[in-house]
Amino acid sequence: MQIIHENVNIIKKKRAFVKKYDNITLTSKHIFEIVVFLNTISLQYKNNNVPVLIELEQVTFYDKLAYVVFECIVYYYKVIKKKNIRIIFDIKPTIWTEGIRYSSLKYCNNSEEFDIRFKFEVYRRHYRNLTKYDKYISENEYLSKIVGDIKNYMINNEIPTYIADELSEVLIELIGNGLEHSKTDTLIDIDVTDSLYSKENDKKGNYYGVNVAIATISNIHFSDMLKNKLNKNNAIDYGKRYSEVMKALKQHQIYFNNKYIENDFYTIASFQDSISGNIKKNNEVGGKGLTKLLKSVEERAEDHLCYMLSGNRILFLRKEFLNSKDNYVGFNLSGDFLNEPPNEEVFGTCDTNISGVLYNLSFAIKKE
Amino acid sequence: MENVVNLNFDKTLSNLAGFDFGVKTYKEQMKGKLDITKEFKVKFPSNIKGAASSFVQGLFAEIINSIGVNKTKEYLQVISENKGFDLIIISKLT
Repeated sequence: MQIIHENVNIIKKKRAFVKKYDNITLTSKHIFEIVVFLNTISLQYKNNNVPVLIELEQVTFYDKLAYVVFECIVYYYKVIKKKNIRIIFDIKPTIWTEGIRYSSLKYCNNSEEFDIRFKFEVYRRHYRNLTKYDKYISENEYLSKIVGDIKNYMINNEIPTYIADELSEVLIELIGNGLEHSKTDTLIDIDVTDSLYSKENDKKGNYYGVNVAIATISNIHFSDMLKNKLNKNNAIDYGKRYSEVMKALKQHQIYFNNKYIENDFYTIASFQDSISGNIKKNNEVGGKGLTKLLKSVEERAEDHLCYMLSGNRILFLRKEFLNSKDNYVGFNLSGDFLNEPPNEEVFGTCDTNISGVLYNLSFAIKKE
Repeated sequence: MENVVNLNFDKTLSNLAGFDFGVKTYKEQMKGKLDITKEFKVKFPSNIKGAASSFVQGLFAEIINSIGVNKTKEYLQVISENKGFDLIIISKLT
């Protein structure tokens, strides 16, 4: 529907800058608008702490990552830049966004509480943890503790053990990758829906959502690591699989266009078994975590909304394109990574350029 | 003498994760203590019920680099009170 206030607006009585959305689905386009709005105020009114009010009335966030990114933006301006920001929201949840009822945004009007809840909460159906890079490098068992906590959280929320085992491992691999590659903190937020939902061809209401957002905000984009690793050194030094990837690159170059760019190749190459952007890892070990994600998506989802966002490029992890051939995942219908390009629906462009690596992993699971 | 190491971990842990943690565990508890030219055993304590691929690969990185993944699978015997744990470890070597 309509955006009520197009521009920065001053309400006469309260002297606040107001941004309002009413009865729409908030997507990356609106997140971009909010960033522009906050940045404009920040730059033009540097020494003025006039309140900023963001009103979200009867809105739906497109997915979990959309509201988690919004939380990060609010956190940056409120806690780090110390701006006076208030949020009023009345959100319509969906199976993918029901977790917003636990969002730290509810506490935005109390800076201290907002800060605490932004960084950590384990409460009922909600798990949130801003995992710390300094602990990752100083505590050997840090990731082991986190994966144990995540698994216990899932089991306590009646997720079957075999799903909890697999999903918790996928998540800890992604957290570990975020911490290791970007050398900065990585946020994870998980919610399990209270409500049961129905499908069009199964009206009994037997599905619940398990929604995960993982965000590492940094200067590192997903494709950077592998690209830099292979450009700096001879791929042969890393073994046969890396040599094959470089041959695949030569083949893929004929397919590059404005919808499939070179960095996209390095993105899908990084998802391959035994391929890692880590300089320390050679052909024999490493690079398994990301492929585990792909298998998990394929095997567990009745329905899913799973993608990775890095910069302004989105990689959609769609079941039909996760076929394999010669131990490579094709990202196309044939499963052929070495010779064929990814399907044109695998990559998309986001309206907002977010520096770092972020995941939205949402699964609709049939209740047993 | 039996070709075996008994691994020790903090008793509060139930799962193991992290490539670097695996490498460190190898260096501190396994390196130089096993003859990897023949069958060898690695025993995990009962509190450990799961291990992520990253940890498994770190733990066996040096062995795999020495003798290859196939030989590692052939020689390695994982001992654990937890049923199926040995298969979990072996499956994560590749």
